[in-house]
Amino acid sequence: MLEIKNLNFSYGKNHVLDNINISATSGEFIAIIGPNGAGKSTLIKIVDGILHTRSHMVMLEERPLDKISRRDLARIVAYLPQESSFTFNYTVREVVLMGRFPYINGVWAYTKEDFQIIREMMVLMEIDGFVERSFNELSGGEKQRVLIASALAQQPKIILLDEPTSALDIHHQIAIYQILKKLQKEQNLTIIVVTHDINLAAQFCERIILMGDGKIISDGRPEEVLQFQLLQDTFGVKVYIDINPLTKSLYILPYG
Amino acid sequence: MLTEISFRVKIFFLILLLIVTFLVAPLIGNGMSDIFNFFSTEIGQRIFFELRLPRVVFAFLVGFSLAMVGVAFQSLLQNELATPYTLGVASGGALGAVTAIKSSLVFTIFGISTVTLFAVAGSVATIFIIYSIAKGSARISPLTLILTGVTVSLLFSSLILFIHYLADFTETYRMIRWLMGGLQVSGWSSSIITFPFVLLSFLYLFHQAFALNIINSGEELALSKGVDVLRLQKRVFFICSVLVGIIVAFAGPIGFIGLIIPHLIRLLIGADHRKLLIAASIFGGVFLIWCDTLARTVITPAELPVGIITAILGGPFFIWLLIKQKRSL
Repeated sequence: MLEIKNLNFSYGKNHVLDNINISATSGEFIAIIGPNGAGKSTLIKIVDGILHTRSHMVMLEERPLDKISRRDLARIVAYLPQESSFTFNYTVREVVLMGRFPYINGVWAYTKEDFQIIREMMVLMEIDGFVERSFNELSGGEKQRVLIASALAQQPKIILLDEPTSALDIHHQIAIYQILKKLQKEQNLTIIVVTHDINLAAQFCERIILMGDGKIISDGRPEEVLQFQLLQDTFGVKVYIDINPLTKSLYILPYG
Repeated sequence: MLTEISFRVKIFFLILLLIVTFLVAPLIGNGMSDIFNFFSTEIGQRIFFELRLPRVVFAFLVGFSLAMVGVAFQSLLQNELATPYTLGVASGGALGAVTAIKSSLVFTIFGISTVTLFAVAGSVATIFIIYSIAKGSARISPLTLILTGVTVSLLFSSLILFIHYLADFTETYRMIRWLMGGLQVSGWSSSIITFPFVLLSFLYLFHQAFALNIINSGEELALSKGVDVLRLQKRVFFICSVLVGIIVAFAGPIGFIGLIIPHLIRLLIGADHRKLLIAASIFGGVFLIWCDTLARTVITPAELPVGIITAILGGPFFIWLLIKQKRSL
């Protein structure tokens, strides 16, 4: 599905990614954690071809990334930036419809299938109750759901999310992760989420990649990655690690 | 709310307005108090077919283009204040025109004044300057382009002032008159020359309407939805700038239409470019026809520069709309 081999990347002289190797299969739910500036966002932007690398270091479905056209790439990978805003007022329906862009030819060329798909996605994300509302007037949680619906309308095989819950309250944080979990199970979607919320990642993801200083520090199941020494070395703070007796998942508490 | 009336109904009324405008506007003006007698004289027919009608058609093309380019630039530059002149093309055109007036090279070749030709040259030069700055980079940031455009405009404006200072009173008057914008065309040549550019630009932009919606959200989301952002930016800038250069060369820098008409129509029908491009362009054309009709008649037998009318009518009307809507654009 996704194969990243010996990936290096720099902004000018500033080296950001150093020898990254990741391979992901269909239906994996992966969290990428790490301190600010570790290169997490850069990594997923490279996977969606937003930042360019010169050589064939990223393979998607056994094709090198730089041989895939923008439109074809948008049918395989969907991406949610950290922040999205529209200069002008679009309705929820119009934003979701944007997800069909890689499939349409011409301007009024939507088929019934396109509308069927966006309706399904709007129902799935529970935004079908306010399709004519203006996107810019929605709350943070609603906007995030609309953007996910728009990303899903691309019918991608991989969805990349850059801190999807950073602006949300705890209720909406859990809601977003539950939706992602459901998508993983029902649609066999590969999900890669960059996050600072290690506890949510530990509860919902089967695999966590810990990055620090442009390198992969550790990659594996939450109990393999969330270790006292690794976290202390990478983040530079002490952490208390325990198991939540209700969910049986690990949680951490940083302390100083 | 106006937004709840369906798009088809609004477009129907807009086209009705367009037809009425084309039928009525050419009839308004000097010597038209008795329409039937007017048409029975040869001079009357000539005024109508060789002056009034070409002028109304040309006003429509100019208003149509300015509103259309305003829509495209506001989306592409992700900026509510963008206008067709934001990238400095009009200033380049103005510098060309002013240079032609000062150097006394004013004559006509094949019915086109050298002032117009110099203005085209100025616009083209500006397009090349902006292009060479943007060229080669893997991405063009809207902010860099706006800053480049504003800087180029300021530079050209100071050069225009310099030429003004060197000019005598007659030349200065002609320069200022040109900078106010005007649609005093005679015959069809201006319309015939601009029409293919207007048509091609519209077809291209309309074909890209869906991409223009998406690019409004910024580069990253647009790329992830499959929009080839750099190619779209370059093509839209190039096509629109050439159109603006030609329009400015013939009509001078008529202000306000490219700024307010897109906002006005966005308030009425929403931000979807498939609808917005059609409605804003047509309304821009109709609006300029009426502004020009006023310009022709309000201090008859003299004429006002139409640029003054668009600003005087457009400004307060738009402020009224903003207050009335009390919502973000």
